[in-house]
Amino acid sequence: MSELDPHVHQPTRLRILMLLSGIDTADFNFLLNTLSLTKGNLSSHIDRLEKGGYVEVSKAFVGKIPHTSYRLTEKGRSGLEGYWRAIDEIRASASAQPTGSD
Amino acid sequence: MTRGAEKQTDAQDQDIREIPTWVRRYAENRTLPVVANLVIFLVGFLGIGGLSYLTAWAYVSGHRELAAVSMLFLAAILVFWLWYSFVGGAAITRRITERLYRAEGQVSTGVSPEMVGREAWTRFPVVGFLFMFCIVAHVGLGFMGVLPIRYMQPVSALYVVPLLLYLGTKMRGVGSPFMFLWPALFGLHAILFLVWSPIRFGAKLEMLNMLVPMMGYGLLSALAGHIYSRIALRRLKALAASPPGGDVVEEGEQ
Repeated sequence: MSELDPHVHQPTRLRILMLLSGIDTADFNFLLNTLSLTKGNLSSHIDRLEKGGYVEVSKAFVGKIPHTSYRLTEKGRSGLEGYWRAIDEIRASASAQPTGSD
Repeated sequence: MTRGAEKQTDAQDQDIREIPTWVRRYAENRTLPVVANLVIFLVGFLGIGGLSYLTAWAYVSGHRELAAVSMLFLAAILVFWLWYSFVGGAAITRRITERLYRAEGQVSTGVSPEMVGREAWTRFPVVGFLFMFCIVAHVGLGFMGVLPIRYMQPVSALYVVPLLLYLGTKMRGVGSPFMFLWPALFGLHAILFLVWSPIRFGAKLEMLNMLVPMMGYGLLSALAGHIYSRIALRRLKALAASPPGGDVVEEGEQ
């Protein structure tokens, strides 16, 4: 059975990756608003995803304002696919076994 | 795991799996920049039309100074129009987008593979040239009296509808699907105009029969997209909001 990737198997990071998988890029403000997180928490999760190579970070200036945007990398995309495959496998094997509560 | 807990986890997973669909729907339908561009074009068009009329009137009625000033303004608007269309429009649109969506944050859907294909870029100028040729020929025939002015809108639908459909197809996956309403409504208006004349501007305002449907249906389609983006954002926030305790970074992770 496949093991769950610890980078992906965390509720907030999974949501960040799923958000980025539907679009090309998103900025910090969009992720902050959509996920209803604090700046510190979002930064920590993004940092971990960036270090793991799941997310690519681009920093630029729009006029005088710094602008940071994020994009899912190929590793991030395959990590997500692998994660859902593993979840489905776990589900399938769990439903094949009789549960104690039945 | 009990069956109840299993069902709850299934439902949560299902919600998370829907996030990419709704974020894409939201991003594609951020159409306020389209509304802003249509308004800019409308103001430009009205400015050119108004100044052309003023210049002609001032010249005919002997107000030469006024005609000269009016012509200068007309030239300035035309230069701005050309600059906006070919040089500065993209940067201005980007700035408008950033300002309009500053509170929500920026997202991009990327460019579809068809858009970046070399073949597509060589085709765009050809389509643009054909479109300009159709407009010039069409308006020219109208002014020469060959084409009755009341048929201007229905005839324009013969090239406007295919062009909007072409652009909509090329922008698929990047732009709002609601923008397909634009050619559909414009075409429907042309048919109704021929058989029933639902909205008809008469006499000196005949040109509005073309301008109002062109801009009006464009605005309507863009606003429909914008309303849908609000619905998509609400749904997205409900799906993506972190569960209680889910935003906590585990110890040793940082």
